[in-house]
Formats: sequence, structure tokens, C-alpha cells
Amino acid sequence: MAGQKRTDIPDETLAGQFDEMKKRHPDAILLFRTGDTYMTYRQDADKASSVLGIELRERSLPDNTTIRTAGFPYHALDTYLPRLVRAGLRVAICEQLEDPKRKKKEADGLDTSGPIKEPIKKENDMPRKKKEKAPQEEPGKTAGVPADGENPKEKKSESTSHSAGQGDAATERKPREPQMVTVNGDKVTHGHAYRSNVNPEDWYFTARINGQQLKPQKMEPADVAAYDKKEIGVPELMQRYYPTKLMPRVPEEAFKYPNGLAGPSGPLTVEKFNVYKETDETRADYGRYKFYAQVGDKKMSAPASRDDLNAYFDRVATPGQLVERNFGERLHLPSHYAQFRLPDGIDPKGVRVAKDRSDGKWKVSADLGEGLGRTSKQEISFDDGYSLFKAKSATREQIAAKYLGGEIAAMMAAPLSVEKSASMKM
Amino acid sequence: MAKIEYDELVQLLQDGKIGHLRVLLESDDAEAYLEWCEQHGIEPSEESAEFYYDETEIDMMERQLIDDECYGIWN
Repeated sequence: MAGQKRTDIPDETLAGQFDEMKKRHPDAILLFRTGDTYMTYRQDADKASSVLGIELRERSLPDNTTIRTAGFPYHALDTYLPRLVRAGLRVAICEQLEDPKRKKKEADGLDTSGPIKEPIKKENDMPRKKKEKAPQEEPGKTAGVPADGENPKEKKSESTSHSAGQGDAATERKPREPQMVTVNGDKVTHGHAYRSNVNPEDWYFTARINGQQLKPQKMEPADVAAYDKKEIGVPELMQRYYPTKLMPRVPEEAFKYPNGLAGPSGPLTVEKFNVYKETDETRADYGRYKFYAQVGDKKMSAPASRDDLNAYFDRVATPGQLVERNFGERLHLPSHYAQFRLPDGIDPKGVRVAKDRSDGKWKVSADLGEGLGRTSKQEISFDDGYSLFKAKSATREQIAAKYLGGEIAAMMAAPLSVEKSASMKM
Repeated sequence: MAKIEYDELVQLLQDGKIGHLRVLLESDDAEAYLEWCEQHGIEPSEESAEFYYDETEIDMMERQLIDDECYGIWN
């Protein structure tokens, strides 16, 4: 093959060019188009040889040093590129400017073999890094699927077909239309899934809101598959992975302190609310983010859930709401207990809260009636007992729903058999 | 004093030589962080800075991927 003759002679300038480009893109494999071959150098050659199973060669340079190379024919790019990408590697393709004289020779049917006469001297002599394949690779393909429904192949074609001379013009981009606009008027752009470089089995979703890059979120495999099949798009993935970014924000006034809150026997005042990371290594919740609240003269902290942390960060829940969720039990708030309800059809008269004679602990249980039987006995907290008996901000039904909700639902879904029910009556 | 590059700030943070608050206040995120504090009715502090940093920080590898000039070709 005529072109291969060129590639048999590593060009020291290309090696220098590789070193220069490698400094700028250390995490990408650089594929250099030299004649009819794509070449890789040094550490990239090691990786390419290993992943693609192509020969690794050691070449001599004019300064008596050597360089490792590995290459493949240009027409095999469609075969080898997906393999590199699937191996979790980022790939940048560097092509040389076409020499008009050489092009004319080719057009005239002349032999164009032989060493490259005009080595690449500067970056502008080649198209910019054409594309970073790995991060944008779509599940199961080498190209991705746009969430806006455009044909990715057409886009890919646009981005890869430009010649060196068109490079600068091709990289000019029009302002991006938002993929969605949130209820807050925030513009979501750049939403896409990409494969992790570190763990190729992992996929991440990310987007920008008003130009601000969001922290990538690891995707569930089912979502990756659905995204691949275009069953879900950016709006659905935003809802799944950044739900609080889409919720209406509460007014800033809600974060001015003191802040009112309905207590068990009159209004309470939230004096302070913030978040911190537990630094006491002796605690079980060391390293976890916790909410700190001062309500009246009561100072409390509690580990925060990821949902609540996001709600706080994105300001879609008021401090009062977060206090209710995280300290409602300790403050004996009626609003905390209001969230617990027994399923329809369960008679509240069957709920029993009593001290267990065997261990002296207060426990709740419920008789669900004939055919369903009685639940187990669950110990209740001191604060819930206080709310029930002293503050009277909680009802027996609410306490039962709080501790037995899951068990009751399961029992209702699978009622006891007649035989077992009958035996319990004995 | 010359502005410290972000990478250097992160390195200093990882070495335990500076805290999250300084990283944010000396980075391009300073304005956004201060605005976030104001909106949440809190004063800038090491605790809130660490939380803000964790919620928004994109590790260097991801940053490099996402900042790529051809980012989003297919989206």
C-alpha cells in the first residue's frame, strides 16, 4: 500500500507535535492521521496496541532516540474507534492540512507516497481536536442521541466532515437553544449522558442551568437503556436526577430569621438553621451532613437526607419545612404527625399504645380486624410518647401509621388465610 | 498578591493547607457562593462553604471532559 510506506517512517516533527498535544490533552488518546494511516505514539501506542491488538513498534528518530508507535489503516477507523471508546478511552483525532499540490497529484492519479514533505508545524495546521468520543458516546453506539430529537448522525457528520481549512469556521457555534425551561425560568442546556472514563460500565447524566454546569449524577442502568432507545429525554432525566432544580423556589424572605413555625401549644420561632458536616470521629454519623436548628432556646442537629440537602441547597423548601421534617418529632409538632395516616378501612379503635410488661417499653400495635389479624408490637420513641400523652400533638392512629404503616400495608396486601385466622381466634 | 489558579487552590485544599471557604472566595465561584449565602440567610463560613463546594464541585477529570470545546456535539 502506497500510503503505508509513509507511515513506516515516523516523523520526528510529528512526535514533537504529539508531545505538545499530549500536554494539552493528557487524558485522550491522540490519533494522528499520517497519509493512509492513523498513528499513535508513546503511551498512547501502548494503550492502542493493548486495546486493539495491533502491533507495537519501536522506531528510531534522527536524534538516535526511539519512539513507540502503533497504527492502523485510515479505512479501519470505524472499526477501531468504537473499540477504543468502549474501552473507556477518550479519543482525539488529529489530521494534517491537505497539501493542495499533493491533492492535485492524487487527482491526476500520480503516486503520492513517500515521507510527508510538509510536517505539521503548529496546531492550526490540523483541525482542532475533532471530538471527544468517550464522554459523548451514546449507550450502545459511538454517537449519541440528542434529547431534542435531532438526528445525531447528521450532527456528527457536520462535526466530523469539516476539513482542516474549515476548522475555525466549523467551531463557531450558535447560541444553544435551551432543552427545557424550569418553572423558575432557568434554562437547561447541554443535558446529556456520557460514559465514565474511570469505570466504563458507569454512565452519568449532566446538564447546565443558566450556563452553570451541574454536578454529574450516576445513572441507573434502566435510564441509560431508556435514553438509548429515546424513550426518555433530557426533561425526564432532569426530573430524575435533579428534581429540586425543577421545583419552584421559595422566596428569600422564608430564609430570614427569626422564622415562625406552628408548635404543639402555640407558635415556635426558628432562630437559626444551617448545614454542616459532622467532624466528631467518635460519632456514628461522622462525615455526614447534618442540619442544625435553633428553635426557641432548643438547639438540635440531625443527619440530613440527600433529598433534604438538595431541597435546602436549591431553596425549594423553607427552613420551617425542613425543621418539620427533621426535628418535628423532637419538637412534638402537629405538622410532623399530620403526614402519617392509617390506610382507609382500618379501624383506629384497634390501635393500642401500652407499656410492654416484659421489658417495660412503650409499644404500639394494631388489631386490623377479622381476616387481617394483629400487627407486631413496635417500640415508640420518647418524643413520640411525649407528643401522644403530654403535648397531645399526635394521635394513636398517627403513631400507629408512623411505626406500623409498612407492616399494615403488607398485611392488607396479603391477608391471612381463613385457616390461620381461625387458629388465631382459638 | 497574584490570583491563585483554581487547580492550585484545589491542590492546597487537598493538602489540608487551606479550607473550603478560601477556595471558594478565591475562585470564580466567590460571587455565586456569597449570593447563595445571602439567599439562605447565613454568613459565609467554613461549614457552608464545604457544603456549597460539595454540591457544585466537579472533579478535575469531569471538568476537563465537560469543558471540552466539542462538548455536547450530540446533544
